[in-house]
Amino acid sequence: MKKKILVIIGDNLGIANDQIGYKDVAFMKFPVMINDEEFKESEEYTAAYLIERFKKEKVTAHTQSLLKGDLIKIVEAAKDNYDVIFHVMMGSNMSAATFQMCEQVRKEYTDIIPIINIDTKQVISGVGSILIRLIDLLKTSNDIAEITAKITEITTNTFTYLCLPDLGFLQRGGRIGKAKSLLGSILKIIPVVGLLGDEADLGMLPIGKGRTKQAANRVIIENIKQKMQKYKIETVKQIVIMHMENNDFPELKDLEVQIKRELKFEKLIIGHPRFCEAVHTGPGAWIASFSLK
Amino acid sequence: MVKGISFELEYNESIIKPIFSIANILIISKYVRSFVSHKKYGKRNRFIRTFITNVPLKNISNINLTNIINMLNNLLQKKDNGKLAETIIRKSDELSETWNPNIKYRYCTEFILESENLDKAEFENKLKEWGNSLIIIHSNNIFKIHIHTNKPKTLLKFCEELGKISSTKIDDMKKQHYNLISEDRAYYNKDIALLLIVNGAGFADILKGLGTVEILCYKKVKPSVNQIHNTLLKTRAKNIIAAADDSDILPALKSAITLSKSNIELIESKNVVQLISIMYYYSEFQDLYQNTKVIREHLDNIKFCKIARATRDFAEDNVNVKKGDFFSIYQNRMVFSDRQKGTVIEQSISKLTGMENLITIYCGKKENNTDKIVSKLQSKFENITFESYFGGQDRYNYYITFE
Repeated sequence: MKKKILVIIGDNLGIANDQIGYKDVAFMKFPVMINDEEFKESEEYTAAYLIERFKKEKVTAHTQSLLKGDLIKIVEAAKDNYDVIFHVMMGSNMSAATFQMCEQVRKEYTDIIPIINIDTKQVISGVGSILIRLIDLLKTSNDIAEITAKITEITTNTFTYLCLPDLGFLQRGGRIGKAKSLLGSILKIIPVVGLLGDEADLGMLPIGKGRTKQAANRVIIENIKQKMQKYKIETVKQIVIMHMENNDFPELKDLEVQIKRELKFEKLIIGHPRFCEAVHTGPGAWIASFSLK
Repeated sequence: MVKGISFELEYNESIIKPIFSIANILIISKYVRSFVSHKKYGKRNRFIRTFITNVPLKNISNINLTNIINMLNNLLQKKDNGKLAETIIRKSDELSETWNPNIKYRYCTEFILESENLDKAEFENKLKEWGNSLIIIHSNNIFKIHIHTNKPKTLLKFCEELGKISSTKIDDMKKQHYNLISEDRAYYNKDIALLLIVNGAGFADILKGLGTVEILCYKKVKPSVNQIHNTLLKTRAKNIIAAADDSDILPALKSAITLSKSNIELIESKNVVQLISIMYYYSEFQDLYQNTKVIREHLDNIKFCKIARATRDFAEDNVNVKKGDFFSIYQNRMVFSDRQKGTVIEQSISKLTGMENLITIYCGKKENNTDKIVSKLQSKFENITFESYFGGQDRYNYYITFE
């Protein structure tokens, strides 16, 4: 008998809800504090709203971990209607508090409903990319152990690159890690930082720097080509690219052109910026996530 | 001799026994030999007598050194014991010989090779030709290789044709040995460092802002071998990538490298723009081999020209230059010359710009304000972004990069 599976996802996934392609999805929203006032994503409070405030008012913002109460509400509502819950989470390397809370809930419900927490080791479109891969697996298989093993393998083969014109947002959010070596340049550069599935424990890593937006895109392409060579991959399974302000901006178009010109891939998805993501990227950022296998 | 023994006994605070450094053991042994061979152990040398008699032998962990000091103690107690003196000299020579190995293959090389269709026995036979101490650990398609060879880079290139290589490590065993037995042992505190030698305080700051780097900033006089050697020592890195902004510095840099105990890879750069390019691609999270490979691949990535002022009349590439004129050079060829620097900058940009959309002007020490030039250029070339920075270089008035 086919199992009924619920997927829980936070709202830092770099794609729009309607791009997920699965009906049994429960969304959780990260609280965002703007000048000490709490907001959650809505039609009004979007990435564009926050970026506009960053530009005009120079507000300070930070995110808080997901609320345990919100998660319990979802699990309580689902426990009698579903056989299994997959919770696709932002990487524990980026938010240990959220991960621990989710693990606590999983343990509390061990005898009631199995919850499988997927530590994506990713943020933004990296999370969304793994979610889409999970949905693809759910459509083709009913074997929970097989799906779990496969999705774990996918997380180690997912690579996210962020071009962040202002690293200060990442630094203020406490997520900068080893990428802090890119801070404080006199020369105007676009730092490229990455969350690499095969080096996830190292957190956010400095990948390179470009003086121009095209050069930053070059850094991404060259890095992912190295990964493809390392893992002997000829065709990338799935790519998600997105711009935090406008997907029509030339830098994202240039990235798309470079990807189409230089990489073989099965699926290219244009993502969608979310409210809480803007807190850590700031304006002008663009992101690419590659799922190799 | 007395100083060496006292130092080890006083300053080593090991719980079990003081660990004498190899360097100190060899020096003490050398002085004992000299002391004995020159027959300085007469009764007049009371201080040495008293000192050697009171050395706590149980506190010396090296058995050979303990024996030598013990024999010296016996020698000091007796008269005309020629045989014992000969034994001390022989033992001291043996101790020195122990730490003077004949290294036939200089580089201890380790790496991982991932290859699908590689036969281990055949591969092992091929590698045997490259050196000795070969160890191959094999699991599925992954081979971990350890070998002593004289041509590590050629070997890595050869292996790259067989599959994907990673985690490379090349240790110069002669340097390791020298480091071990020398008096001023270098204490490494990081695995890799980058040293750039540059003219101009502005450029020094720009390079520092682009990542973790050691800078040796010189003024008009180029740095000496000693200065470079000291800077290399200060990096305290096991592996160093070194480069300079002028090919005239290379001989001094090469000499300094021969004196250094670290593994040093020299990038033969010729100008400061190449140093900026190095900073774009250097990563402290990559090993020496991967870093130098990527850096060399991209060394000439940034197109640039330089502008200087003539100190005499001359003609080159069909361009006549009068004393006091400004002239621009691109790839060692004269581009344009004029009395006005603004005109030279503008014309050079017109002639050299292709698909680039960012032009950066780095001003030399003699130039102060480029705002007017930049705003004029910006209005003329609307599709190009102009940026200006203080480089502070002595030789050229401007470097202009096209990206």
